[in-house]
Amino acid sequence: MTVGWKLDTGRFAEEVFRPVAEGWDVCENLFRFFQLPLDVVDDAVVDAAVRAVDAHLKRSSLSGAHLDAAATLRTVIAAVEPRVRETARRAEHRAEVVARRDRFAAEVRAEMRGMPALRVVELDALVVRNRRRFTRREVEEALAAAGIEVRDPVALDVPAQPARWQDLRQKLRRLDLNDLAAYLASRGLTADASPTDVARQRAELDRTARGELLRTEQSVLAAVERLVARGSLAAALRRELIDELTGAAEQSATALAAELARPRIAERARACGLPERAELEYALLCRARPLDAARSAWRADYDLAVAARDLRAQVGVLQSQPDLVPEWAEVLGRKREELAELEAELERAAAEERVDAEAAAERYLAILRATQEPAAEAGLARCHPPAPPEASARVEGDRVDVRWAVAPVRAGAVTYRVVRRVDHGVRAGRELIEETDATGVVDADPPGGVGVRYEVTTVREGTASVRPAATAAVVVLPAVTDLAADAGDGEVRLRWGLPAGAVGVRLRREHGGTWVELAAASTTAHDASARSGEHYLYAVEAAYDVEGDREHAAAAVVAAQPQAPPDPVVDLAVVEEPDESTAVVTWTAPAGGAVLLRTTHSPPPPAGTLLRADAPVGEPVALLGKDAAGLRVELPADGRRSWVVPVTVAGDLAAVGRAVERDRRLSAVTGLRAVRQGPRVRLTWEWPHRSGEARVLSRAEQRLSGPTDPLASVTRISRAVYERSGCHLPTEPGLRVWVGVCVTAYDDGEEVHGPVVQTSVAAPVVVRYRILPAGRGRRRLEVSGPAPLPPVQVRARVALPPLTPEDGTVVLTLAPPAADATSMSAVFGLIRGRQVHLRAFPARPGPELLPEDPGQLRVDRRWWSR
Amino acid sequence: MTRRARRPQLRCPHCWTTLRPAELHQRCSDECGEESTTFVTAPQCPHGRTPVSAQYCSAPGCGRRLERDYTTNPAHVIAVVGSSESGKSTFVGVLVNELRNRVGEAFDGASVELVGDASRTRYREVFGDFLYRRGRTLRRTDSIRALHALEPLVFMLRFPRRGRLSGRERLRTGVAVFYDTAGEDILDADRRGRLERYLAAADGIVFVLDPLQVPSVREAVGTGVVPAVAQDQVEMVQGVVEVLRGSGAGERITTPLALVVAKTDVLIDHLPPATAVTRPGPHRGAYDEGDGEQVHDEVRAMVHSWTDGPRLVDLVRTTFEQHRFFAVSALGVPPRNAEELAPDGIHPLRVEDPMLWLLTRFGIIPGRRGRR
Repeated sequence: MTVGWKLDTGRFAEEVFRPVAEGWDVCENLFRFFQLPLDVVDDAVVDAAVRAVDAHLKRSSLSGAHLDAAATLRTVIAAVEPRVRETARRAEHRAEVVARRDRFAAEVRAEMRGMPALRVVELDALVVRNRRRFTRREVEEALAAAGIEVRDPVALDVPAQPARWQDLRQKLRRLDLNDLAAYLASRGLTADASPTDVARQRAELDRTARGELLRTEQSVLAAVERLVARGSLAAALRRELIDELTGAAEQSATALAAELARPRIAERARACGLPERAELEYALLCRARPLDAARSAWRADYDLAVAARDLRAQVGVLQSQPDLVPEWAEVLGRKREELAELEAELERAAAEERVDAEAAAERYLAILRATQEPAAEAGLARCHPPAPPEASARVEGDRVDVRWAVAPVRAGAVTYRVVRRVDHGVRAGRELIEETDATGVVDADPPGGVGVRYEVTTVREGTASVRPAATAAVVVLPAVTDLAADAGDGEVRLRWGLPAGAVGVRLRREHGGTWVELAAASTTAHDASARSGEHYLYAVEAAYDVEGDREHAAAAVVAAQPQAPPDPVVDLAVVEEPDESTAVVTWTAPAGGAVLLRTTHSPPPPAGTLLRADAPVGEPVALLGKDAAGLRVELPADGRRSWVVPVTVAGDLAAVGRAVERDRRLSAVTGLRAVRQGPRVRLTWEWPHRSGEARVLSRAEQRLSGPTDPLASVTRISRAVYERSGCHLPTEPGLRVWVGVCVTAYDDGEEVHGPVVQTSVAAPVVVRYRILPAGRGRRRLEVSGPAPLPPVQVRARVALPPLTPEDGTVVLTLAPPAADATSMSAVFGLIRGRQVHLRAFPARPGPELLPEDPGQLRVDRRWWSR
Repeated sequence: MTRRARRPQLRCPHCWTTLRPAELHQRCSDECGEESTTFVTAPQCPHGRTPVSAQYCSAPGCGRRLERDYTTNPAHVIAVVGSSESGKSTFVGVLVNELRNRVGEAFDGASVELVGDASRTRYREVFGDFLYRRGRTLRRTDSIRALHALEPLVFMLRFPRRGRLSGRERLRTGVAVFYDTAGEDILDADRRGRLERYLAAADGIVFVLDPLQVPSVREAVGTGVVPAVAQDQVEMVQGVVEVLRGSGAGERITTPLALVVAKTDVLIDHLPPATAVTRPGPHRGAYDEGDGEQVHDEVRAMVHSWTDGPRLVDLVRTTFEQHRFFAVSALGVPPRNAEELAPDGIHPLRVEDPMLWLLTRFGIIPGRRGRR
């Protein structure tokens, strides 16, 4: 056996055998069964304990007082011992035991309801009640682990209640004092007051007081005199304080703590010689919650009545108990006294209702603060609060500002209920505007054109004043809403919202300082007499019939300047720089107005759309400057599709021009080259990464406006075809052709294009010629082509063709017969040589001179006849 | 209809041995296992089994495989010669691609395909990959080409032709064999020997003349991509003539010579106005003789104006019975630098003209005297 551990057989009998005999299951706490501490970790200790217990059970099962329990336990020990032997399972069981203990402690704490400690008697009762679950040791350990203290309160030494104590307290209330301590303090008397002090106060009283109050206070002084004479004034004060604080303790521990925290209470407690706060608090709570010998059902009812602040129910519950323990009897006595005070107070309040309702309400409210009392509620309901002495309403535009004076209420918190009253019209009737604790409200939606009054009543605890404070009638004339003017060419169209109650409008127009009235419908008007370019003001006043008179609201005014719509820009051209973020923009200026450039990522309105000048169309284009090429602008290089939109603005109108689309979803080709190869142009370019198809556009004499230039010829070419066969376009002689390439692809079913890269190629005018036999050794040159024909020179060379105008010999120079001639011819002689090559050259640069049949340029003398 | 006439004899394109078809070798099939051997063409192998159908050169030291298309169709050997860096490899690489694609379309769907794995592999490794996939020049391919020195590119040509009277379509076929020589071999007397058998067997010669190796032209063009060497072009032609005469050619050589002025893209600003050289060739369905003569005359005149031009023109005229001058641009635009082609791709101009002219001489495609 391990040193340090030994089986305590007496404890085993107390904590295991007896509980098992009463039905306890050892599996609930194997640590108790094996007499092991909860935090045991030494396996050797566990082993020793198990062996010892097993041996003890064997012995006990043979003879002794616990023979049956031991026999029972012997059947289970083999099954349960692994739970303590195996480390992981032991830890798991430890957690179960601790959890069960903690739950028990939580139950106890809940039953304590805020009590700072448990009385010893309560602990004993707890142990008895839970003997089947826990041993006393375990209960104490559980309470200790939960921090629940077990101690009895200090003795409070509660003096007996003085004679005629309730009568004295009633008299004190008549003097508007809650307690004797307050009276003595107000009169400069202390607990140590002498008869002389009291006599002095009596003399003072005779001099200053009159009537009922005099008599009441004389009676109070007499009671004080008697207490002083008996030397029991201090005891009375002590008893008074203890009762007050016990009342708070009955409500809750929190209420008691709040009372004890008040400086005046703390001072009185010191003066009365009561214990320190913590002790006092515990003692008061114990006084407020007497111990029950047995927990009775009526206690729950009493607790409920306390929680409900129902004094009558509390008294009723206690009265119905035949055998109250002394502590509860004292509680009943105290409660009866309180109830008697309550009844007296109710009587006084009821009497005062007829004379001074506010005073009565004050009493009723005081009663209700202390306890729930239907009679007090009924009494309070009979005490209608006074209405505000006056109320006024002032029209401010479309609203009414209602204000009133504070009602002369002396008791309780009040609110004010504001009701609008309309006697005529669609919205006739009463309507609650607002209930507020302020002294003014704004009616934001009064009916227009009719008299409106406002009634303000005071409301206290659901009871309203008998009669309201009423304002004089006011009439609201709301103006028209959302007045707008659309100016056109020589006309202005107006529209507005007509408020409810209005019967029409009056429309006036101002021009050059002169106002004229115009016809108008209820919500629209058309002024066809306005002149474009002129500035007008339009005033629209809603009209109302107010008790037979036509009245108008304040005017809503709008300005308008009719004008002819501006001309849109139709030829906007955007030529982008290689950096793809700047461009040169050109257009033909419209006849009037200013052109603003905007850029937008969503399709712009169609060209020609008219808008208001302040209607937003995309974002402004950043201007970089102007040079000979045009206006330099900065455009977004964001890889998105956008449009450059020209907007012509003139006055209030704007016309959207033809936008130029920029699609940056695809990159531009680079290195575009156009090389003329005779009657065609070969285009080459570098393809952007991952592009497979391109659009090739061409347009004569004008730059391409974009990938979808409607005036361009378009060819599609795939990258495979480009690499296999190249890209060639026909030229047109005499014209400069702009050719452009952009890659194209499909994005979600939509064909998208990259930016167009373009260049131009000029094809010279082609003039053709023939050289035909014209006799032996002679040839005839025939030239044809568009006018004006160039002068032509024919050169001849032996064995090799003349390639330049400097090669060979001139055999013919021919000028066109007329400026508009489209053909010419002449005969010339050949030079000597076996093989003569001929060629015609234009005498001026520009046109291209091409032979119709190159074979005609070579003359072999073997065929001299030709 | 394909004419597969039995050829009386043929030359091995690898060793240039003249053989009769019956002398070709065949090999045993795999069934003969370790006893497999090579034998003269026969229905059965020595082991009594059906042999592999492929045929091989029987010349000692050769034994190379001869493709069936080569042995059953008339073959025309075309030697491509020229100085180093003249653009021969680029010319051959681009020409083969054009023949397989664009030219075929122009000739009623003619088919031009490389024959045999060896040719296809060689084309891909030496030409196709560099030019069309990587956009690289072939300057650095000397070492690769050295591995394939004198290895032929064999391709099969099939041109449909309609009968003049019957209107029926027939197929003219032929096999062309390209050799890409090393320029130094021409000038080095010790190495000419390798060329002799090759040139002696050539049915047509393409001489690629590099204008940038002509002093006057190089001076006129100015900066740009110039070859690392500048070999005398007249001497180069003279060397070819000597090789041919050494192989038994007479005073006037009958082998057709296409003298090709390459790299005309570099000369674009120096060419005469309205020259036919800058226009694409009009050869559709037939070779246009009129256009060919015009180009011939113009190029001849152009060469005549260069350094030693008259000598060259006269040498060619007096030596070769059949010759024609051509001007081509294999790339279309000058390379970006010595390593890289222009990024906008390869766009040749008239690169097929010399080949089409030779094919008319071989009778594979017709010629036409058209007028512009």
